[in-house]
Amino acid sequence: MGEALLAVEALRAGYVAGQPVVDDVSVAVGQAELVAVFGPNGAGKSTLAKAVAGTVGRFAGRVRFAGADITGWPPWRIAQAGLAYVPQRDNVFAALTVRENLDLGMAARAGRGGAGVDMVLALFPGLASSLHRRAGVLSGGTRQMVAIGRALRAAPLLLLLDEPTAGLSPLVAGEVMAALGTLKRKLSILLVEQNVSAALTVADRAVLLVDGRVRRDTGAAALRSDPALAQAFLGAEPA
Amino acid sequence: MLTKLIVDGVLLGAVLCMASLGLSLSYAVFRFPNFAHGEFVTVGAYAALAGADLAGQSQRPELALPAAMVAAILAAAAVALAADRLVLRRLLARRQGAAVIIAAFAIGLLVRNVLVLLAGPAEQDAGLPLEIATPILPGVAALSAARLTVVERAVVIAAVLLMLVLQLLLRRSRFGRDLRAVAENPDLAGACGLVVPRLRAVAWGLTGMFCGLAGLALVLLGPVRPESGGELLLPALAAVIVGGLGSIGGTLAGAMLIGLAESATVHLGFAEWRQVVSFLAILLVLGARPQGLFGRAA
Repeated sequence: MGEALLAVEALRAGYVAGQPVVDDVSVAVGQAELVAVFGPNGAGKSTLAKAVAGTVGRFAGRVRFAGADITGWPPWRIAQAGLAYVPQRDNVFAALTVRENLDLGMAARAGRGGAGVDMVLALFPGLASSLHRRAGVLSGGTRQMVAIGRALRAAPLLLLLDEPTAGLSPLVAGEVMAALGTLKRKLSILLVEQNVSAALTVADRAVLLVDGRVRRDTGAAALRSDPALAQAFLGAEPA
Repeated sequence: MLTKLIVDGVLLGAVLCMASLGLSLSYAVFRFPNFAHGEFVTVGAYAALAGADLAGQSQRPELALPAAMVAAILAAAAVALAADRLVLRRLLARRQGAAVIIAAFAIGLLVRNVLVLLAGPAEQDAGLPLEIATPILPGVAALSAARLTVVERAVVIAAVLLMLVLQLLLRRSRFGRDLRAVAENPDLAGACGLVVPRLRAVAWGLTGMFCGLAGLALVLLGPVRPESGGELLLPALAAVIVGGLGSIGGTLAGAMLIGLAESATVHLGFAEWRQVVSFLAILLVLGARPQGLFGRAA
């Protein structure tokens, strides 16, 4: 394998200097690869995602993306480079319509041309009837689809998703995961998740984060065939 | 008397509307009542005087109005941007609501006192020739009391036009959509690829532009003092709140309501009560409809 599309190298990050939430974490995501980061509550999964996206302090280590060192870049520059981050909470603009939310994603397309609304509607046909509604009135699942759809409008190279299935019914969560399975044929995905079993249906590699550090990093196939290894990951899943 | 009351109220409402639009915009984007707003308007007024003066000294009287306008807009925008850059930005980023308001208040007082030092406390005017108010509808005898000067008519028309321009800009343009996104969630806006600092700067620049035009209107209508803009802050705030925070059309309606209410108070012989009217309007509207007349419930 050549150089990974995204390489997080010995990253230390957090909200207060001197108190890293994520410590010495290294994770790599290759082309068209879906890497899932698991871990119990408070393990630093969301902080890792924010650090890669540029919205929390990065104290040490490096983040390399598409051949550039993006460690010190502001969020908009990282987004324009093709790394689309979808946060866990407040990930749509509630006062804007679905259509406006989706169109806003084009702000990060930079030189890539972007993708049409059709592409988003092909992935999430349910959004078609809600285009003119304000995003604030939508259900959690539909919001998640708007947020992912908005990120896709920029034709990103990598999708960085923070718990896209949190709070969703198993049915809707399955829908979101199926969409990610379709998407990973064309782009790379770094997925932060608590829902291990759902994410393992689409993941190529799994990383276990505990107390801000990488405990395990393994291929998803090995995980599926080794019950003891699977238990280590599933143990991190909330009951 | 009723005709005169209404015409005076509409003119006052138009001035208030011009002073309120920038306040409404900065509230919509930055989510705090900018207590330095009145002084931004005053800076616009004094810059307009200076611009007109410069044109006069250069023996180019035909350039007085454009020079006054450009100077007013540039000066007010520069002060708004400087206030954000030096003070407000950091406090807004930390979401320290009370500190932001106090800081803005301090900036306002500072600017006002600098103006006193630079221009003196006495009122100044542009030395415009006295203009006779003529009937708005000369053919209708019943409305012969409805009189406005050309400048006054221009201010009323400008207030409505500026409201429409701002409304279209915020609601119909890509730039407006981006501004609304930054207003709601700056972090998410940044993650979506919007260059947040640039949009904030443009929003302050636009706020300054509206303040500059409001200052120019003050100069065109009469003499100004270092307190002129600051005295408009409370009625302007009342107009924005009555109309509904963040609703641009509501701001015009709120300004007209306050203008008419103040005009009625004066014409009915309670001139000394006119300052109270704005406060009463705020209390009444907030009591009955906290989101304002045209605001959307949160």
